[in-house]
Parts: sequence; structure tokens; C-alpha cells
Amino acid sequence: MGAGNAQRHCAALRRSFAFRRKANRLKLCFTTYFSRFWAKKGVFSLQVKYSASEKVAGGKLVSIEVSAEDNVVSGVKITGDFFLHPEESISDLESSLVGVKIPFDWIDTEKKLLTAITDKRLELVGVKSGNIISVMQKAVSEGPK
Amino acid sequence: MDGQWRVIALEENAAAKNMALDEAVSNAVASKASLPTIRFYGWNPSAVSIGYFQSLEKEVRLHECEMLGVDVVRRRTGGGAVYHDTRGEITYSVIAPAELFPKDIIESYRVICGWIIDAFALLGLKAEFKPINDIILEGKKVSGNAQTRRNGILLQHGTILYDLDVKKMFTVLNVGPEKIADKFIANVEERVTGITKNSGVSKDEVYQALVSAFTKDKKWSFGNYSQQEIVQAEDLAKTRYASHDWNFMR
Repeated sequence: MGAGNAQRHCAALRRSFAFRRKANRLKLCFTTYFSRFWAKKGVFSLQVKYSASEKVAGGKLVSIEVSAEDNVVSGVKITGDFFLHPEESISDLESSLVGVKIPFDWIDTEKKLLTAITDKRLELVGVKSGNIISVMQKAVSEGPK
Repeated sequence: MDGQWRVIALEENAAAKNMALDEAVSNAVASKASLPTIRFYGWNPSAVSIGYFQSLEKEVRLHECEMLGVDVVRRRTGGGAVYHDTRGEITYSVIAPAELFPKDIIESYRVICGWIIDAFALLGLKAEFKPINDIILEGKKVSGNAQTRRNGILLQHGTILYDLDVKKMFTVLNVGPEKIADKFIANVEERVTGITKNSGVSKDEVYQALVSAFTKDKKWSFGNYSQQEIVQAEDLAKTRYASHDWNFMR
């Protein structure tokens, strides 16, 4: 009796798990499809975050966190043990990358960074503009996190 | 280096006060209210300082710091996270008009790091400058340095490791694999050293050697902080360097 009950109980549990898995799969498909549909209609935005780090050979560590809305960079945070003079200008570097479309053009994007560096007379030590773009590329290619 | 220099003798302060004093002295030197200054100091309680661009939560094991009573502060210079043990290291700051040093940043690191290397030589130790901002002894890092330039003033501060508590250092610091990736060293404990691992000199002898080397060929005298510097440092310690907004800025 006891064994029969246990078998029935296990079978019910399996059915319940299988049902939940199917339901979750359906829910994911449904939300992905409708998110994209409504995002395209401009009803709401798809927000994603990318991040990556790189230790520059002979230089310093640079990490980047990129937020994007509908494949356009909406926020950037650059951290690491590099040097930048003057230090507060890190926000100028970060904001120069806002508005870049993903996937981005390496040369155009580095140009934006170099313009901020030249215009504000910034000095980066231990990391070059190309390294920042390279980490950004790595972050985007690894996909949203 | 023809002008007169002020040397502030070895003192101990809490982390926020140490960073606030650097800034208050920089302001006073910028306004010519104070002479170019060399400070020697320790951290009491022991502390972790992180670079301006670092993420506090990523670099520091905050829970362990709290458990061990280790202070945490963000510097206004770039560079990496450093564990400042009260007994195990001496920190210095050089605060002077930038025109006294090479315009090239690496070259100016080389000049001031050269003074530290001279101090090691006085102790019979052969250390080397490793650009960008390190000094190595027997192939391992023994001193890390960081620099900023504002309002025409160069501020360089750095640590000289005396007696290394490697276990505590890596208990309070988070060292990710990227940081050591290009150095082919799997064990982070093999990257750093302290003077006691290479010599039997006392901490006081190290301090005396640092004073001799830093003041060589300079007109100098020991001095104290001005009242203006003390008042401003106390304010900056409270409003900036001990504040959550500053320390968790990134």
C-alpha cells in the first residue's frame, strides 16, 4: 500500500515538474516575443548591461560596465587601477561613450574617446584609449549580464 | 629643488585624516601659505586605501575589514588598492609645485621613486624602479606609489613595505585573476615583499634612511602643520574621506 502511494506521489511530482518546465519555457518565449514587440512599438525599452575587464600588458587593469537601451549605450562606468589626470574627468570619458550604437564601430567610438581626451587635455597613464574600446568590445561580444 | 622644504616627522593617523592632511597641505602649498612638504606617516588603525577609479566593493573585502577593525578609504590618486598595516609599513607624501619635477608623469615617478631607492641603498639593499609606479626588491614589489597634479601642485604618496603580513593583506584585499594574468604568477603571495624578508634593519633605521634620502641636496627642516591645514584637514576628513558618498563613489 505504502509503496503504491509513494509511486503515485512520485509520478504526480514528475508531472508537476514537467508542467512547470513547460510553463516556464512558454512564459520565456511569450515575454521575449512581447517585449521585443512592444519595444519595437516604443511602448517600453529593452535595457541590458554588459561588463568586462582586461589587464593591459605592461599597464593597468581596466573594467567597464555598459548599460544599453534598445541597443544604444545609455551609461558607462570605467573602473580600475589606472591613472587619469585630472581624476574627476573620468565622467567626461564615460559620457563620451553614451549614445554609441551597439554593435559599435571601433574607429568611430575610439574617435569619440580621443576627442574627449584632447578637448579636456586629459592624460591617461597605464591604459590607452584603444584598451578601453577593446574592453568595451569584449563586454558587448560576451553578451548581456 | 633650491627652495626650502618642510618635513613632517613620522606620525600615525586614521585613514581619513591621512588623506585629508594630504589635501589640506596641497591646498596650502598651492596658495604658497606652506612650504613644499614631505610627510612620513603610518595608519592607525591599519587601513586599506583604494585608487580613485576603483570600485570599493570589488577591491575590498568589507566584511573582513569590519571584523578585523581595518579602516577603508578612497584616495584622490589613481592606482591600486593597498593594505597599510600599522606596524608593517611607512607611507610618505611629497607635496610640491609641479614645476620642480619633470612634466612627464613616468619621469616624475622615477625622480621621487629614486629617493626611495637611495634610502634602500643606505640600508645596503638594491631596489629598482619598475614603471609605471612600483619599486621592486629581489624581483618583488616592495613599494607602490601614486600621483596626482592639481592647481600646479604635484602630490605623490606611496608605501614602503617593512614587515609584511601577507595573510592579512590578502584577507582584506580582493585580488582578481586578471590583475596577475600577464605576470605568470599563480600565487599572489609571491608578488610582494617587505624589507624584513631581505634585511635585519629596524623600522626606525628605515625611517632615518628615508629622511636622509628624501632631503639630500635640499634645504629643509622639520616642521608642523599650520592651524589652517589642521582645521581644513579635520573638515575634509569628516565631510569627504570618511563619507559613504566618497568611499562608495564607484
